[in-house]
Amino acid sequence: MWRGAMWVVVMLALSVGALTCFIQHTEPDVPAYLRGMGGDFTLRSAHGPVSLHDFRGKVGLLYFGYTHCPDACPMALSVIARALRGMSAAQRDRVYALFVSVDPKRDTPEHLQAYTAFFDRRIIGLTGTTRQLTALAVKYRMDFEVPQAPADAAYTVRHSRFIYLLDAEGRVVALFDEKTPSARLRRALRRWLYAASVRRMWKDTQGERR
Amino acid sequence: MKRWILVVLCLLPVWVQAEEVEVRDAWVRLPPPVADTAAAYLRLINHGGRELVLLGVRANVAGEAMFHGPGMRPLGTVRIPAGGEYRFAPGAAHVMLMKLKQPLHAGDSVHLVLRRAKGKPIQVELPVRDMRRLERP
Repeated sequence: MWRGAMWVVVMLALSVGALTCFIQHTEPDVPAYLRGMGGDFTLRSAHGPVSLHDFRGKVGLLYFGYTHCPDACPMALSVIARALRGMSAAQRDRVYALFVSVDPKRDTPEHLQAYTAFFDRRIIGLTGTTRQLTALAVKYRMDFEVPQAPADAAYTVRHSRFIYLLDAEGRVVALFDEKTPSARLRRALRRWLYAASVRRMWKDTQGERR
Repeated sequence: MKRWILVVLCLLPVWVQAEEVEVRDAWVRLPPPVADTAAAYLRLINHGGRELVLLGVRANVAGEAMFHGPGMRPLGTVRIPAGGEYRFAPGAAHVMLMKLKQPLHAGDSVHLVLRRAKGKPIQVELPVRDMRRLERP
């Protein structure tokens, strides 16, 4: 009798262990240097304020740039647009893409929206004050440099070129750039979508879901 | 016969001039209609025996144009050694077209004039390409 009960307990412990292990392994590895990078923010879009936590449960792409950028930004936004276009409608509903302009002097939220819509209407253009953007750059460990010039001057802005992949919790889990093939970006998005659904199912069974 | 030799002799300098600098993979990235900048790309191959020095660039569609090295660094001059080449390519150096006079369209043609330290300017026609759906130009 005791022996039978012991067996049940052991088997149960083993299966819980195996399940936990399985769930942990559905999430691709996150390189150590990305831990602690990123974080929540609120910026302005053409349709009002947008916060990162609005997208909780979805997998996202984030890129910093500016609209007078002729090379890297159009390349990055094209890669993002192509990655999104190749996904099913159901997958796309659970993915978002943000383009943050570090050049608020020239890029109004309305101008940004017109700019991003050229690549894909799902890409949301955001910007903020120089102070907000500087704080954000520190969080995301990116560099940018806007010269002291009037808004109507033809100046260029230097900026890091990362495409950040954010998981369902808004954490930075992978970095890409404008030269990444769109198929690779799409594959990464799908893997993290899968990880997010497994995690959600797990939370549902645990009754932890908010 | 004599006349033909004369024709060939007359054409020879033109041919030599044309062969000295070869331009390849020249195109302009279609920017969004609201943008007033665009990037032009081209590969310049110097077949000549001397270093080719480019001092500046003009574009018929832009109020201003300049050479940009990787990372948006403006380049004053571009030097291409004899037998060497220089690539303005996506994600690296490019010719920055600023203050576009009107929105560009896919299939438009852009005319660039590259000013040399010595010799005639190099004239290049570049097609405008819409890269939103293409992985490679």
